[in-house]
Amino acid sequence: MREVRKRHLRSLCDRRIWLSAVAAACAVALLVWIGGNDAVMDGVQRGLARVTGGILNLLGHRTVVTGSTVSSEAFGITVVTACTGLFTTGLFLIAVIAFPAGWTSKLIGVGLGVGGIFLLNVVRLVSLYYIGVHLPGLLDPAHQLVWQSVLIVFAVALWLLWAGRWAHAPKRA
Amino acid sequence: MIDRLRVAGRWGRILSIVAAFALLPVVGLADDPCTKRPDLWLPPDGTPGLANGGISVQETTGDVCQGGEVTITVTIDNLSCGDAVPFDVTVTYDGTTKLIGTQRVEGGLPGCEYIVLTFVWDTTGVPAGEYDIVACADTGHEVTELNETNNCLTMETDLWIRPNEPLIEVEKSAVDTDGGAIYPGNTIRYEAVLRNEGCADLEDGPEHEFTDALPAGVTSTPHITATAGTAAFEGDEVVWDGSIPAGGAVTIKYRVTVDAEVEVGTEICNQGFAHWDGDGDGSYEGHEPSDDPDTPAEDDPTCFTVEEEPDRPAPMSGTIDAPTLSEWGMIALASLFAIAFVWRLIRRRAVAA
Repeated sequence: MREVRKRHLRSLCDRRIWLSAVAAACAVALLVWIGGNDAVMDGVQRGLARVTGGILNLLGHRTVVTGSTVSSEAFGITVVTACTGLFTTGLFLIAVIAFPAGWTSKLIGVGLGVGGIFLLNVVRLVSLYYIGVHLPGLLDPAHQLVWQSVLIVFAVALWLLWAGRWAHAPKRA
Repeated sequence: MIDRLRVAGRWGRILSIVAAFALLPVVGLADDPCTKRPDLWLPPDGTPGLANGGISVQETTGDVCQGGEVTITVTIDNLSCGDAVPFDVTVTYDGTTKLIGTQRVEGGLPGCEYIVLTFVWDTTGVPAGEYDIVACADTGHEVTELNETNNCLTMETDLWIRPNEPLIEVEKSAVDTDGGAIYPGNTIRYEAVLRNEGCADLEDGPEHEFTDALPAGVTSTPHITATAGTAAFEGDEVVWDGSIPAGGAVTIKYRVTVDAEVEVGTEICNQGFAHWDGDGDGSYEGHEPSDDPDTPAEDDPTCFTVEEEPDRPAPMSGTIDAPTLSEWGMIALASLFAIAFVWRLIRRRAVAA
């Protein structure tokens, strides 16, 4: 019994757990700071708008990007803070950082989450532009039901993929 | 029976005499000459339906330099079947005040016939300019006509007698390089076309052959080109030096920007001027202001009005404030992450055990 208690206490004092907690807390703080920093968010929104506008132009649409607004004669999308996928990415990163795994695995998780969710968000914005132009009646269901569900399922599935494939338990010292 | 036959024969003779008298006018008229009076007129150029399928020719050989010859062809048609006695045909210019020539149709003009006359006009001494040519038949009123009011015709084509020296006409237009209305800050492209309509070449002299002082409210840009000669901005003035052959043209293009602080509704106007030495004495006595080709007025300045830039239509909304996740979406995602997190931890421990 004493041995079990000792082992439990030892695990509580394990540096890795505390480091993970601190890192997760830092990630939360960073996301809160980013979300509240207009200059940073403005840059993120403009960047996302430019990427979206560039892809739409490559697909043959004549869109103009003004600030964080992608517009054409037919339709327009303004990328606001909530459109950036910041919360989704943040939750994903917290889950990655808090999960017991090696730092290399966590770095892979961070890259996977940031890149994957960013790409999916761009696809979402492009598809919403198409829906807005060609099927405006389906715009609300598309972004409120379909795309939210797709994002949630995608983020969780991506994390599970990472946790199952790359998040190996850290080696004990 | 015999009496009845005699009576019938008598009635037959009477009826045949009556019938002969009744038909006499009809038979007689067929060979009767036309009793109508003649009617001379000058059908417009190209009018078909003249005798023998003829088409009216009322034309001149076109513009000439001073001293050149102009051939004028005139068609006179007799509309009626009545013959016209001999008559005069007169061609004049500058209204009906100046005579080009008179020809007499000695044989008259039979009914339903036409005649084509040719006049040669020596323009020596005729001042340069644009002239109407008027042809009139029976100017001596010798023919008694059904209609005396259709004897004159003003030819459709004006005749241009060009001077034997340079004559520069300038057309200047202003176009927004973006097309459409002109707003403060827009770039305007002026295009001045200089045409030498005289019969002598314009030589490049010691002075500028074209000048255009920019109006207030616009600023010059480095963009200025000319199809010949040398064009440049000298301060706020466009100047061009060069020569233009007789009948030739030069186009000068230059860009200016409308000042951003110009008030909406301001009309910005200006005129360029061509200058030349017409008599070769070294001084530029020829001056011609530019004309705006977009207006019917002659030699008027080129103007444009600065308009208020309309607000760009707001893009259609719908996804404008659409977050990637709503509040419930965030709650669902966080919950799913928590469940997945715990499940993975439990599974890992189970595997480790």
